[in-house]
Amino acid sequence: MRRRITPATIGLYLLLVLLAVAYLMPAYLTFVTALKFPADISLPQSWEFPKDVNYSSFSEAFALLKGNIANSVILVVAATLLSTVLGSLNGYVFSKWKFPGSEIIFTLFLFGMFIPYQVILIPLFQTLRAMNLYGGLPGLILAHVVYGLPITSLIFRNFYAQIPDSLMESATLDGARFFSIYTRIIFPLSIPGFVVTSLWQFTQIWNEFLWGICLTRHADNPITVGLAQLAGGQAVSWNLPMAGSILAALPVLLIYIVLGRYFIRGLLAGSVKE
Amino acid sequence: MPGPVMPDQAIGTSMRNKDRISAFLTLLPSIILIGIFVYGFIGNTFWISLSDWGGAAALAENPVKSYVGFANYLDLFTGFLGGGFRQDLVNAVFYSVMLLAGAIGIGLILAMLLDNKPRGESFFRTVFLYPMSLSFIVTGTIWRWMLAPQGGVNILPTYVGLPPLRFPWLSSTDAILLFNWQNLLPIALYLVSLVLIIWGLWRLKNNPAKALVLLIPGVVVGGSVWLWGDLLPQALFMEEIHGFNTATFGIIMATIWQYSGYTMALYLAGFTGISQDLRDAAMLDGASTAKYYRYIALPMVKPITISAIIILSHISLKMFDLIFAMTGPDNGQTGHPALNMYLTTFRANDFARGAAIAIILFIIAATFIIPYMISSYRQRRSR
Amino acid sequence: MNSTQNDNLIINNVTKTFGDFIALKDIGLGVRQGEFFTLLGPSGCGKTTLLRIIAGLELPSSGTVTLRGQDITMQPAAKRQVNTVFQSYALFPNLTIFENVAFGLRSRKFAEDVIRKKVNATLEMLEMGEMQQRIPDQLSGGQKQRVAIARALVNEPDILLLDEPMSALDAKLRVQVQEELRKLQRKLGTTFIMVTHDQSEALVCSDRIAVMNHGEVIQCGTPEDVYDYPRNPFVARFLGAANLFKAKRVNGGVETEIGTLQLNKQPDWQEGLIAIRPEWIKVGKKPAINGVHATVQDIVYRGTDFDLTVTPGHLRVRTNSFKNFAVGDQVWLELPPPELVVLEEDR
Repeated sequence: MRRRITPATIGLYLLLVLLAVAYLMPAYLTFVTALKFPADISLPQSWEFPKDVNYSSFSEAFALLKGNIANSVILVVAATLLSTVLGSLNGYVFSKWKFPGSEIIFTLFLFGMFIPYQVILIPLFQTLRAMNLYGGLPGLILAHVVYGLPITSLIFRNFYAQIPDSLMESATLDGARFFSIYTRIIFPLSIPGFVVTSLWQFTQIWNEFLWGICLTRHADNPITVGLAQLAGGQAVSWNLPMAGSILAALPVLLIYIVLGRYFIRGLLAGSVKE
Repeated sequence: MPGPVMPDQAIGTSMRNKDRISAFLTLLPSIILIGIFVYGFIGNTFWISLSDWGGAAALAENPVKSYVGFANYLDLFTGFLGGGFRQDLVNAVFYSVMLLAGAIGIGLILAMLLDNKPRGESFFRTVFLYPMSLSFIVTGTIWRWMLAPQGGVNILPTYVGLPPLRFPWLSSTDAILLFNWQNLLPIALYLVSLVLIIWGLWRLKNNPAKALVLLIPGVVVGGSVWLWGDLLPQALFMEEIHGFNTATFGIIMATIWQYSGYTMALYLAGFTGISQDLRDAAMLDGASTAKYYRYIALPMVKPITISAIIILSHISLKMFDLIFAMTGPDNGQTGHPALNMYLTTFRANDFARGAAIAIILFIIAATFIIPYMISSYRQRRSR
Repeated sequence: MNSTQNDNLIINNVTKTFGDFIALKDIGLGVRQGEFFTLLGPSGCGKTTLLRIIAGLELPSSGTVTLRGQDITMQPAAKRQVNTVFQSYALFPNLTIFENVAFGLRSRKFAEDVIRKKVNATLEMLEMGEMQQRIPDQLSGGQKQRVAIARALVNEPDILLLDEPMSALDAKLRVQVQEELRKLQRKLGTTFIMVTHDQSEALVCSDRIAVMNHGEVIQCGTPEDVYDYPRNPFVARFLGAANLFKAKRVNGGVETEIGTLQLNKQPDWQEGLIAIRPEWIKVGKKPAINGVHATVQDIVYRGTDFDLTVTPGHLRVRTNSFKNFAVGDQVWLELPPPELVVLEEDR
C-alpha cells in the first residue's frame, strides 16, 4: 500500500511519543518510588529502578488508609446512588414535562455547578452543626447529594432529550401516567445515562477534598484527607505517600481505563454546551 | 365558540393536569434543596461577610454577630493586614492566566495531533487524559516529589548529559513582574489600553472601521494615564510590592499536566464533529493544516473554547486541594484566596472575614458565569 | 474502454484496496477535454473512491493517473488542476459566501483585487451575486450547491469533480438543477466528472457514462449506447426497466419462452440472456417478424405512457396513452431485431 511518508508524519509521531513519555513520567516516578525500601530512596536516584523491590509499601499504606478507604466507599456509594436517582427524575421532568418557568429553574440549577464552593462553606458548616450532622458521614453525603444535583440533572436532561417525544405520546394514549411512563419507558432506556452519571459522580466524590477536610472529624475522614495527612507528615518516607497515592487513584483510574468511553461522555456533559 | 366537550377528552385533560402536578412535585424537593443550599447559603455568606463574627467565641452555640457594613472588604483591599490576601489575589490572577494559556494551548496541540488519526490514537488519548481522573491530592503528592529540589524534574537534564536544574520549585521565594499595589489603577488602565490596541491591530486588516473604534480609545486611555496618571487615587496608603511568585510555577505545571488532557478531549470531540468533506475541501483549496485549523476548525469549535475557559477559570478560582497537597496550607508564597478563606475561617475562626473572601471569589466567578448561563439559556429557548 | 490520444485525463490500471477489501479493480478510463463524464453505479461500487483518487484525496494502491500527459498520481490534491464539489457541499459554516469562494484564492496568495474580481464574476455567473455576505446556514439547498460549484470553479480547474451533487436536493429541484448543470458545463467547456447512483441524472447530464459495479467499469459509452445496448444484465437493469429473457441459440436466431426471435447479430454463446427496453416493443397488427401474441395482464398509467404487463413472458411494454387497452385484451407485439440486445454474462 502506498502512503505518503513525509517528514511531517515522522515529526507527528516523534512529538506524540515524546509527549506521551512526558505525561507518563509522574506515574513512572510514583511506581518506582512506591516499590523502593525507605533506605534506597534518595533524591539523585529518584528516577532509578529499585534495586530490591519492596511490595510492603502497599500493605503499610493500606493499613494506614484503610479506615479512610472504608469511609470513602460508604460515602461514594450512598451519595452517587442518591444524586443519580434524583438527577434522573429531575432530568425526566426538565426534558419531558416542561412547565412555564422550568427552563429558568433549570438554569438556576446549573448555576449551582459553577459556584466556588467556598461561598457556601460557612452556612453549610453551620447548618450541618445545627442538624447534628457535622463531623460524620451522613452530613458529607447530604452535601455531595445536594451539590451533585445540578450536574446529574444536566446529564439526564440532555440524555432524555434524545428520546423522541412520540414515545411519550403513544404511552400516554395507552393510558400511562407520569410515574408509569418513567418506570416503564424512560427508566429502561436510561441505563447508559445511569452509567455515565454514576461514573462521573463516583470520580468527583472519591476525589473531593474541601468538604472532606472541613466537614468531617478524624475518624470519618475520606481517602483524600487521609492521603493528605499521610503525605503531609514530614517523618514518613516517600514510598508510603506514593503507595498511598496509587491506592487512592486506583478505583478511578480503573474506571477510566475500563470504561473510558463513558468517562469521557461525563467529561463532555460536565462542560455544559447542551 | 367552545364545541361540545367529549367525555374522553375531559378525562384526558384532567389526567394531564394531575401528571403535571406529579412532575412538579417530583422536582420540588430538589428545588427546595438547591434554593436553600445554593441561593440561601450564598445570601447567608454575604450577610456574614457584613458582620463581625469571629474571635474566641466564634464557635459558640449562638455566636454574637453585629453588622459592620463593608468593613471586612475594605480591610481586605486596603487594610494593613490584608497584604497576604492581596498577594493571594495576585497569585490567583497569574495562576488563572497561565493555566488557561497552558491547558488550552497544550490541549489544543494534543487534539490537533490526534485529529490526524495516527496509529495508536486511542492509546495516546488515554495517556493524555488519565491525569484528569486523579484527585488533586494525588496529583499534588506526586508532583511535590517530582519537584523536589535535588531530584525529580531537576535532575532530568543529567540523563541527556546536561547539568541539572537548580530551581527550588515549591520553596522559591523569588517574585517577578513586581508592581506596587498603590499603582493598581494606572496599571489596570494600561492593561485595558494594551488589550484595546492589540485587539484593534488584530482587526485592522479585515475590518478597519471596527479597528478604529478599538484603537482610538485604547490610545486615548493609555496616553492619558501616561500624562495624568499621577492624578489617579492610590489604591493603598502605603507602598506594597506584589508580583508573580515563582513558587506557583510548579503548581501551575501540575495543573496543566492534569487538565490539558481535558481540553484535548473537548477539542477532539469538536474536531471529530467537523465533516471529513470540509477538511478535504479546505485541503483541495490549498489550505495547509495550520490554515485549516486557524480559519476553519478553530472558529467552528468556538463554543468549546468558551466552555474550556469557563471551566478552567472556575477550577483556578476555587483551587485549594492541589496547593494544600503540594506546598501545605501555610506557604505564603503559593497562597490563594480559596486557601486563605479556609485558613481564615477554620483555623483563625474569623468567619466574617472568611465569608468576605468567599464572596469576592464568588463575585469574580459570577462575572463570567452569569453571562454564560444567560446565553446558554437563550440558546435553549430559541430552539 | 481503452484510452486514446486525445484523452485529457487517463486512469491507467488503477487498483485500490482497503485491507482485504478491493474497492477498485484495475480501472482503465479516458476522459476527453470538455466532456461531461459520469461515473454511475450502485453504492459501494467504488465510484466515489475513483473520484477521490482523481481529486488526490486518496492514493491508488497501484496504477497511475495522468492529466494532459503528466503523471499526477502522487501529486498532492491542492496542486492538481482539479476541484471538487462535495456531496455535502462542505461549505465553511463560519465564513461568508464571499469568503467561502475566496478561500482557495487566498490560500494561493492572490492579490486582494484579483480575488474580489474573480469571486464576483464567479458568483454572478451562478446568479449568487446578491448572497455574498450571507453565511451558508442562510441559504437553501440549491443555493448552497451553487456556492459549492462557485467555490470550485473560481480556481479555474481543468476538471470539475462532482460527488453526488443532487443527493441533498428534493426531487422537483433535482430535475431543474440537472439541466442547469448541463448548460453550465456547455457554457464553460470545462471537463465535468460526476459521480451518481441515479441513472436518470446520468442520462440527462452526461456526454458519456461509465457504469460501475463491484469496483469495475462494466460499460462506458454515450447515454444512448449504454441505455439501448447494455452490455450485460447488470447494466440493462441498472439503467432502467428492461425485459430480459433466457435464450438458446438456434438457426437464424434464438429460442425463448415467447417464441423464436430473429436477431441482427448472432450471440457467441449457446445459452444466455437477451434484453429489450419496454419502449422499443411495438404494439399493433400482426407483424412480419418477431411477432408475439399476448394478453394484457396489468396496466400502469404513467402520465404520458402506459406500461402494460403481458403474458407470455411477463413482458413489460411501454406504449402511448391515447391507445386504449383493458386488462384481458389480446394484442400483437413486435420485437424489432435491431432493438434486441444480446447480453454478456455478469461479471
